[in-house]
Amino acid sequence: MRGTALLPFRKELVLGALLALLSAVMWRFAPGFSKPSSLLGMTRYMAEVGLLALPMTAIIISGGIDLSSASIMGLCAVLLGVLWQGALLPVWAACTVAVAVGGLLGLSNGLVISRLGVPPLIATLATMAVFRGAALGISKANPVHGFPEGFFFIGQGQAAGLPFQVWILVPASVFAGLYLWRARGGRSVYAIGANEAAAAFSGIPVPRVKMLLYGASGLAGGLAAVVYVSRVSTAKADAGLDWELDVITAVVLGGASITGGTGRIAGTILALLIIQVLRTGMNLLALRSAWQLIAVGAILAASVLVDRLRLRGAAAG
Amino acid sequence: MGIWGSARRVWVPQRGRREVLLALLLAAFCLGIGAYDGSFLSAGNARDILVNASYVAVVACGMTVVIAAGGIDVSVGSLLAVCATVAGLLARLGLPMPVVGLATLAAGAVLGALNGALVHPGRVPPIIATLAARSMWRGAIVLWMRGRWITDLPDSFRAPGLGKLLGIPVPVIVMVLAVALAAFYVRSTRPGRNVLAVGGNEQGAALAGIRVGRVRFFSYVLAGLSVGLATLVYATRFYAIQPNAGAGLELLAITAVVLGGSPITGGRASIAGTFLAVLLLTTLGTGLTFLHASAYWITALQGSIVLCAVVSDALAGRSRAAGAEGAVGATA
Repeated sequence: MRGTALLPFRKELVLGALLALLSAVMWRFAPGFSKPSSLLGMTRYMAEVGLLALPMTAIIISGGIDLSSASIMGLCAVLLGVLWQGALLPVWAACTVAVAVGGLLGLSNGLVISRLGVPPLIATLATMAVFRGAALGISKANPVHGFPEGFFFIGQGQAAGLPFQVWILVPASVFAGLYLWRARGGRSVYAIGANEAAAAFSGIPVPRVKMLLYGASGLAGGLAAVVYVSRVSTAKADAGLDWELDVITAVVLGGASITGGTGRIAGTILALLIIQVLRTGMNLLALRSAWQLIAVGAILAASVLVDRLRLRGAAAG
Repeated sequence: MGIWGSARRVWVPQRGRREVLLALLLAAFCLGIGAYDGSFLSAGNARDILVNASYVAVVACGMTVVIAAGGIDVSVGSLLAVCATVAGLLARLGLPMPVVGLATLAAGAVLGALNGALVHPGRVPPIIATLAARSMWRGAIVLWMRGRWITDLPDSFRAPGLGKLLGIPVPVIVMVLAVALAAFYVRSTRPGRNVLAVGGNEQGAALAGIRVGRVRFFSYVLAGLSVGLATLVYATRFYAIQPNAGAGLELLAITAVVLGGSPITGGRASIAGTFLAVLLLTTLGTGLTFLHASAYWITALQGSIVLCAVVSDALAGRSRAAGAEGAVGATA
């Protein structure tokens, strides 16, 4: 463990090197990768998974997990469509309601987990089905189209030469990073993940912190829904379908320990970038999405395996 | 602690109570829908429900063992697709069906062993190991088949899926045998008891001389084997094998285990509970169509039932904790 103390950002350095290597390979071999349009385009696809991954990082650091945030995204996308089309709300009002509902659904997860003591894995496994099911039931799998032009700005527009998503994801990441790094609430997240009982005894309001984390996750689901609907111009129930495992993959690849206590937003962001460079580059190389699944899985397994073997080597030596 | 929740707060259901509750719920549900539409209670419908439940029940038995050992396997859906492809390709080569069957079981066991090797000796946390396997195997199978379906399967291939013994469909017989075997395994065999010991208290088990790593490894081999067996009664019912076979199976199986009353923290396994939960979840799906309710609400209904189950567990655990007062306070 001495190495960890000498190099506090060792994981981030390794991830950064991997990202640089992958980018260089893609730059050299993938036609059109170096074009600004494809570099900027990547951020569009990253934003939604990224928004979900920020609170997921904090939740995993706290020793929890949230399988339901991608389902919240689906439900909020449907609500946005239904409120706009059926209830004739102006589209901005519908967005606000969708995001607020996302936050409330997240808080309800937090309630079940922190006040009733249901393990996060099974609590959110259940609500994952409930929220996705409600999205399907409400929409009857019918998509909603025909949103006003102005609404597409969030998902398809540019501000100051950058895709608008950048202006959502970067501030959100900086905020989440600073919060976990510096804020008292953020530090208590690490304390809870390292030893929940000790954290409770040292006066940290554990249930309140957990409520906040799962609430933030729901809020992120609502935001991601707005960005997604605006990007694809359609509100449908399968928004974010099967993303929960992608999000967890990014967080774990970013160096957060699934058993809690360690992890950083910077690592998650680097992991998101790695996955996105891989996806974009492989698309440009006309490699099927199947190869991308294999590559992401292999990197995930290899990163954890190498880490574990190294730790064992360190322990033995 | 962790995503499995802190051990002290997980309510361990009293032996048998959950099973009785699930059976009552299942009976009430069947009778209720039967009263609305009598044909729901027909033998034909019961057969359909049981056949549909068969492959899920077989996989869920394997999942129960993995979870009882303190692990989890989110890769079973992808493994099913690999096993189905192996079975389909071998059958198309003209190999006799028993050989195909054995090869499929072997494929399942090998895939499970690869997961197991990541967990022990690889020391990768189970959820990560199987998450990686889930994505890699799904990718591999899509790539291998170039996204195409396997068709032109020989008629003999469908013997296990569509065949009958004494008037009972083969998948149902396989399911009942697998459930009985799994229940016997965790209840009455030494390896099965070791699984529960490892899941209940890993250090204690190690001190008692149980080879913890080996037990955990074999729980994944068993899960893989159960996927191989499930493939034989699932893939053989259709005229084609799709690369997306088994998508979503992992969450269905985990849901069944949780609903069946086995604690997600491991250490206890209720095969009967898992079996009843699979039947309940499958019956719900069919039942809604009989009520002419929109099929789109099935997922929400299944999720709500699981939510009710885990919340009532938690509430019961809390009231008991309040009763046991000091002891719990001391461990808090």
